[in-house]
Amino acid sequence: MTFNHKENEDKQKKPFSVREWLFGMSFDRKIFWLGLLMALICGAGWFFYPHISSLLGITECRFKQVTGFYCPGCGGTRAVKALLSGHIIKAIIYHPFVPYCLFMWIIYEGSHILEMLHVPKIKGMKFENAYAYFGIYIIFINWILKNFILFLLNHS
Amino acid sequence: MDFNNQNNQPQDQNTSQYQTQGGPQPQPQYQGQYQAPNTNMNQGYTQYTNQYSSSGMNQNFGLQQPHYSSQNNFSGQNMGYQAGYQGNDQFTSPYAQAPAKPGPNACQVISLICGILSLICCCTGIIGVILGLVGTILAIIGNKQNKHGIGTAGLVCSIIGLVLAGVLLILSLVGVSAIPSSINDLYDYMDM
Repeated sequence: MTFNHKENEDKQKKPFSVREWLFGMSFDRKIFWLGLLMALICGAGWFFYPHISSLLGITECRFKQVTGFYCPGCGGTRAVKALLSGHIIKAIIYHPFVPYCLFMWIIYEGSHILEMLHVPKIKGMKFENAYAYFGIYIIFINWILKNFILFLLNHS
Repeated sequence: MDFNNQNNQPQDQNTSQYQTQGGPQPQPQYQGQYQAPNTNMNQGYTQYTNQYSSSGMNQNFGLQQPHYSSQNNFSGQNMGYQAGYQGNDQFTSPYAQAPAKPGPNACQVISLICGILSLICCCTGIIGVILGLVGTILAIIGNKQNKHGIGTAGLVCSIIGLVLAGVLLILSLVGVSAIPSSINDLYDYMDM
């Protein structure tokens, strides 16, 4: 068995390359960084939302004003406000996709952060397609169910 | 040739002393734990450690013995084997690698994100249209390169978001309003 010292030396001397770092990491780690980026964008959007909405004139769901039915995202803002107040059950009733996203984000990002900190016996969560499919099912089922209840409420 | 390794000499891992005639000659890499090479001849290998043993080379050399055991310690040699070995389940390597299913590419992942955002933001009109368009285009590009469920989901969500936002935009421009003041709102009941 021979050891290739030259290869190890070459690896140590190689300068850091952003491109290699970006394309060399695993798919799960890429999703981790994407999750951090999305959280940053959502946080910035939530921070600037009161200022933006007054400029754009958003007061109510435009989709509901025009069609009379809820859009797939109706109740999302209320769900975020309920979560920030600590009312998890209320947030689930308003829009279950929001607490689902928050729960998955905490678990996924937390496990990868712990792995990067070399906490023993902790491995970063693997991304499964089922997580995305389940989120999409939640959006559609919530949309159809809420509109069905609204229809019954206004036509009974 | 010292088939039985009677001299207990460590052998070079890439020794091709025992190569069979014909057929491909893979070069497995032994790094403490055996990993089967990714060829069709995989199934003939079993796990063995990279240890040197004087007894390991006796009758089990041909890997044809029905009592071939993964506990035998063979020297780190490039073992020969015969083609047509694939049918015997006893020798299926636990480390045989199934062909890896390709993951979604970047276009498909971004199309899914744009699709979900276009669904949620379809009430804003123009933003939902832009997100839906971007998601649809990226999903089409991504699905051409690679078939994956994420790409299909991204395409479906983007198209639905685009349609909803487009309908809203058109109806808004036309000036349609469907809400009479007496209509009940479900969320008013939830807020109570």
